[in-house]
Amino acid sequence: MNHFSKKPFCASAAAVLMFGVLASAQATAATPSSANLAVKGKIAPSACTVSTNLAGAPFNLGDHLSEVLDNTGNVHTGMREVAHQVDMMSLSVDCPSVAIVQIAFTDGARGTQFTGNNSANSSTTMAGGNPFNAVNVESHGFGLGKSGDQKIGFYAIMMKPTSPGEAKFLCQKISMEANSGCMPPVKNGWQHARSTGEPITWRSVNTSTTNLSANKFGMDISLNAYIQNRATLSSVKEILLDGRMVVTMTTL
Amino acid sequence: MKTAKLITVLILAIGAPTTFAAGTDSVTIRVKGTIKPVACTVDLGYGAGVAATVDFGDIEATSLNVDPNSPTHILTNGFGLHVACGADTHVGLVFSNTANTVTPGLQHHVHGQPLTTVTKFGEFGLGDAKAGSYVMSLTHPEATNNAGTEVAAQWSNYDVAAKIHVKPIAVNPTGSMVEVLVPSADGSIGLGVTSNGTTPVLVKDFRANLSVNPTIAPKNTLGTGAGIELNGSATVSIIYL
Repeated sequence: MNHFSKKPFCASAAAVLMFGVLASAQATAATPSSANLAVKGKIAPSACTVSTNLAGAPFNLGDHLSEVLDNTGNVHTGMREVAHQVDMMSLSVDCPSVAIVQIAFTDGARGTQFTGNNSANSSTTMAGGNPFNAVNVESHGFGLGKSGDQKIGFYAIMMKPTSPGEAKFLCQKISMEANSGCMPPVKNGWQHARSTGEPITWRSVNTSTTNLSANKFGMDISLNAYIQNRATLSSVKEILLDGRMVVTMTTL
Repeated sequence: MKTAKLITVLILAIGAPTTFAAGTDSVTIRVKGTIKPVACTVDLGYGAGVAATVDFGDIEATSLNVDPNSPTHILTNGFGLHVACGADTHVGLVFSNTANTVTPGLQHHVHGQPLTTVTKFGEFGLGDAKAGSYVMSLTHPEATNNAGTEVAAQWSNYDVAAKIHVKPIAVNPTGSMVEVLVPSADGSIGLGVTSNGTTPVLVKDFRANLSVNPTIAPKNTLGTGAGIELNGSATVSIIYL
């Protein structure tokens, strides 16, 4: 019995010993007090593309004889409107899967927009009722280049959502905190885009605060263009208008 | 404790979507166009843009003066110059000598009156460096504007290259220029239609009489033998001020 009575003891001792080894091993592994664990990966953004029906061709404002650029102008202090809500292009964003998409317009000829010299006398208003004064031209006007040291004029674009489905709002974000305005889903509603690169987000038809996820977005863009009076612009030779607009699409 | 650390690491890794690059794409759109000058035409009496010729015919050598101080001045009849524009325009003319063979040092006359300043400026060649040269003169422009109203207009001497009105052009009682004009850097001579000799005035249409006043070099400097062919050439172009 004693013999038998020892076995359980031995077994028990062995068990205790094994526990002791395990405990010892744990104590040894814990000597470094921390270990780094790197967890890597990438969530690939949607591979959306932006395109226009211009397909790389320039938008042509046409030829304008300086004889029509009279010295008084009909808008914005001595400027002549040479294009009035002219269809410019259709813009499309296509995504392989649903995504939230922003679009931004940046003036590649920034600094050449003629902002006028008397904002108080502006007679033509932008969409939304804001006057085309110097401040608004600065923020919403796209430059047309220079003739010598003279700014030739500016153009402004207006957009209207054409996305299928629920994408009916276009909301412009001038800061992370605020939207500068959302275009409601009304017939023939147009909204001016800023030329300084503030993003515009498509929103669903029922709310102007929730971004819309979709795989196809679109907007029609129209254009107004204004040219300086000819008393300021030399008309000795042809003057070439040279505007450049960069459209940047970002998926979130 | 170790488990807590591991979980913390995982949360940090998963909870950092703002560090992921967003997908972007862009297109650049060019906006082009042209501002064309007002369309004006110049007519020297034979139709817009049609060349005109002043032919002196044969000039007998015996009729030429010999005295070096008295070159021969030939009186010619002027011809009508007409500029027509599509609308009121700040416009002028530029005369370019395309036969650059001016004989230096000649005393020119305009309408029988000597030019007070003897320079090579304002002279146009006659095709042979020895033959002589000529100056041109325009009467005071008779101008009207888009409304058909007569506009008081006076020539300026316009520097085409510098785009400045150099000076008003005086006219004699008959309305002809009596001054030598200062050319632009390229040798061309510009005339602006102005209200006072320095300020452009809007005109749609103006007319003037253009006279060509040749001066033939003294006979004893022309050499002998075969005759000397007179072959001057100048281009009259519209300029926009």
